[in-house]
Amino acid sequence: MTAPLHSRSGTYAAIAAVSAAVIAFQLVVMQLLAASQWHHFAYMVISMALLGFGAAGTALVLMRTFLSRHYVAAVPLLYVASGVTMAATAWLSGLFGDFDAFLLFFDHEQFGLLLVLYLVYSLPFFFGGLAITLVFYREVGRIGALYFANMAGSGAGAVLVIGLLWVLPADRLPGLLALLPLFAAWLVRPEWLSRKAATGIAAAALAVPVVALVYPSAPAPSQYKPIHSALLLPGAEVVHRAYSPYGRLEIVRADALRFAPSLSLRYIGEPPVRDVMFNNGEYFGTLLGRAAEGDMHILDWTTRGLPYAVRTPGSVLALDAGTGNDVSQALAHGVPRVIAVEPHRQANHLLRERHPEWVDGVYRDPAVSLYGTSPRAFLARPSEELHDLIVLPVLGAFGGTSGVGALQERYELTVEAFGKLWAALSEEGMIAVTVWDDQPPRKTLRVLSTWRDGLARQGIDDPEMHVAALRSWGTVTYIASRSPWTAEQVERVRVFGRDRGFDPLILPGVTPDERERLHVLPDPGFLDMVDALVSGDPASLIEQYPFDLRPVTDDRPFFAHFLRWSGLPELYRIFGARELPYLELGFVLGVVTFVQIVLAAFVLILLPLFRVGWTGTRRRWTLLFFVGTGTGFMLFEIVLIQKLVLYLGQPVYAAAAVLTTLLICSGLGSLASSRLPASGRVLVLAALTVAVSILLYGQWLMPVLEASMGWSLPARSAAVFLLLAPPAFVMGMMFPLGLRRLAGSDQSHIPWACGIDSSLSVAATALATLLALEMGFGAVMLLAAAAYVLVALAGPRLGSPVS
Amino acid sequence: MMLLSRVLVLLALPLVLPGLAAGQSDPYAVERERMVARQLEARGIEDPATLAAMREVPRHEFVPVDRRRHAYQDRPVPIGYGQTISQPHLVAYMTERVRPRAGMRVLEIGTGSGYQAAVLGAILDEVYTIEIIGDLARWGAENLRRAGYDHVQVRHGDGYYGWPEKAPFDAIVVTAAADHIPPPLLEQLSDGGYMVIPVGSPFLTQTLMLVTREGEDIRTRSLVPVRFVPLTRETR
Repeated sequence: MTAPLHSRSGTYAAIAAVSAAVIAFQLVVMQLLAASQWHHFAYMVISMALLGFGAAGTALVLMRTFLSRHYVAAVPLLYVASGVTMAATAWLSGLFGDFDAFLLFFDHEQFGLLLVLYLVYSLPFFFGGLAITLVFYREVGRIGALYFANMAGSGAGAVLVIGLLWVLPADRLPGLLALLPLFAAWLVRPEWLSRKAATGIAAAALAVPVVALVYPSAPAPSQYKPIHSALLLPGAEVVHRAYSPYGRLEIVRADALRFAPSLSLRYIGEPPVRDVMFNNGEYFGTLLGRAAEGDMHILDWTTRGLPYAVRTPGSVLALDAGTGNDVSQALAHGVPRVIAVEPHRQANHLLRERHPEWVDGVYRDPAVSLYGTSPRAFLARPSEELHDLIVLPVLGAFGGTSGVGALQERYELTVEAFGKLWAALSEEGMIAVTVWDDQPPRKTLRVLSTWRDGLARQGIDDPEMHVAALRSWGTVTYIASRSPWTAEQVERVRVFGRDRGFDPLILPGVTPDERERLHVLPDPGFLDMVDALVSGDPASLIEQYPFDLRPVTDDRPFFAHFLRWSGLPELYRIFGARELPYLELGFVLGVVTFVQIVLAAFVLILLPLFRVGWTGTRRRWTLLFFVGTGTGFMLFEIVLIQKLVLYLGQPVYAAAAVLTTLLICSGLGSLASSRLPASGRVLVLAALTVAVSILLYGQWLMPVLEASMGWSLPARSAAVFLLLAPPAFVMGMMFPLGLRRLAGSDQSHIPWACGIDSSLSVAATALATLLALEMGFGAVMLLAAAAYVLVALAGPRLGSPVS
Repeated sequence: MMLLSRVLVLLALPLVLPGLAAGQSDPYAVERERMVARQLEARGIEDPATLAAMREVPRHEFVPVDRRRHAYQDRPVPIGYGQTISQPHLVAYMTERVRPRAGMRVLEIGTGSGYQAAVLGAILDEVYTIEIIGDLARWGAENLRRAGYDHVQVRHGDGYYGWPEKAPFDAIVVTAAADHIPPPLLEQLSDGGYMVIPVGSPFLTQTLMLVTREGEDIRTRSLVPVRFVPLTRETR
């Protein structure tokens, strides 16, 4: 059956090159679509595109005779097809019109354009997947080494793309990455092909990536991205653009870009006109710089001035400091020690090193220290330093966000984070956060439910004496104080509110009239809800409210996710089917993604059965085994990425560390599996080892990692590698061992199994997110362990009995 | 699909023909009447002047041609540039809230398609509107002229500064709100005047904020077209 390609080393190198290109292309497409639309939409499209792998398995089942007969020519041709389509995706996706995710639930024509996007983006994965699966199928005797090449190539691709994103704009990378599959095709070109013919085909194929490199094309940007609105202003221009794995940073200048968020209605004068920085088209921050000498800081004319009205801090810690506006405010108050923590290192580099003049050098002020890490990683560092004021990032946006960030983890806003912040406060220290008003109220209430829980864990049984809040026409600023309020401080809050035209929302002794003196609420019930969360019975309110107001925890760190299944009928009645998705677009896209993946996976798994039949072939065990391997691996991977963001401080590095470790160690496991018999006993032992490891890691990984939080980034990365290597090594054995068990069965089993594994891997990523939203990461880990128990049960019954 | 739409057109003919016989050449008159009855009167819009204006102004003239089929539906309609024309109920609600009456002078910030200005122009003689996006300003002005509201004055410019030459205004309608209320607009609001601003994401029911000037005091009141009272679960 085996008709090897050019050489074994050529085959391995080709598989590794295509695998690297495919994974790197996936991450580049995620960047491009996140920049032009939204992250969740990018995730939706890429998930469907990855089903191209599942479709490859199905296609091979249906066409295995033909492809097997033309094996030597088919593999390089499929590599070429993968490369050419990779380079042409951005151009192909715009052929039938520009898609806008925001209009998806408004304009049904968008569904047609979405289908085109799915199809176009799945082509490189389909062709690449079909070639790799075909090689696996034809050369299953060498599956251990082949799978190693596949995994190692993928791991290398994940690292490669991060490097590339630092040096080239994302829209040029598809053309560059397309060269890898073309190189793979050259490596395994048929021996009977003349040199002249091979060169001609190569030149023709190269034309597409070359054009894509010289004339890059990117998906059309949504007109509902904030940067789009900014660029419509008269005279607006992008004055700087930079690329990195963090995204595309752009700075927009226009005479009408004024900075005055929820400005007091008593302000007289003109707010500062300043450039605005956008990341992937989303607002990142205004380059406010310093207040003019003698002028009151503009933020002191918003509710964000509240903490400074209460006490004069000697030190300020600004988390997710962005472009340094909170730092600027602290400097305006003469604070002698200001620490800014901002994980976007490229933005930090721009504002501190390359163009400090953009922000009047606030990050270079001798009083200021800037740290390029996440707030939680910063708080976990061993430090004795205490802070008088800790400022959290502003939550929400004017007019709402339509919930596009519903699936984003916010570890700095959890109950556990509150504990860390509290521990970092001085005796008279305060935590401050400002929230844009949202209707129906959600964010404004969840801050309180989380703080209440956090205060209770600190043993504070009179929260109303530790929390205060002022409300303007657009924002609420909450402050929590380590020491109880004094009468003098309460009076200062009142005076500040009266001077600026803000109403007290939470304050000891506040009267009902005071709370709506200037800004009358749409629903007075809001005040009762605030009282219930601060000093009443939060559990009862949380139980009754149609939105999810449960405190945010490290296990469920999704601050902006409020939709709850039980509340949907009521919300549907109020808002109707058309408006409901816009309450939380991110979550709805997540659900839509999951449903369509499950449906598509169902079709891809079932379709071959009409051709090859079901009964009498032990097919059920193949199904269960590969459902288990696909689901278990991906659930584990997704949770690790989410968890390690806390440890490594950067989502980009967390994803790279987890992907690289899992893929490379799994590849090594696959290689080692060649030396083991594919017996039922080995399969059961290996699967149960993985299941027990996942359970242990679910319980102990984070506590173990927390002990080493203070280490340097390379040391922490090494710790991640060493900790994840053992389970990844054993997990890597499961797939090749399973395929080897199938080698003696009906020939259709192997491609079908590859299809199941790929389809379920994609479905599991969507399932992991939805499950984590509702039940937390712990539940996802349990399900991952259960998936490997399923593998252990199905393993011994897989394929023909081994003698 | 084409066949189905033709059948639907034929079915609709008996409804349209009496209108034509009565001298109306507007094929959207029935839809507009239905919009007023079901979306406005049924949801508490009572001001006769506002209702008459909503009956009169041809909303379909203020949406892009390829979206005219959505013009009278109970939803906002995208008009390009990341902007929408507000849903009919919100336009009527905002109009009613500024209590339009003869002799009033009204400023609108954010002309957009020109529809809100047209509704105000159907009631009042002095309506001024400013649009910051040049293309939209030209398109909105053209829509207003085509629909017969030539007396509405359109300016392409930054609404932040208002229209000081015509100030003070009895009412200011801000349809393209920024994250702050410009101090010059507050200065140009007459004592006892109203300013209305819709707040909320596109395609979602928006909250209307009413700003009132009473001497030196400026107060705000958030009004919600679809009221949301979670604990008692009432809606209106």
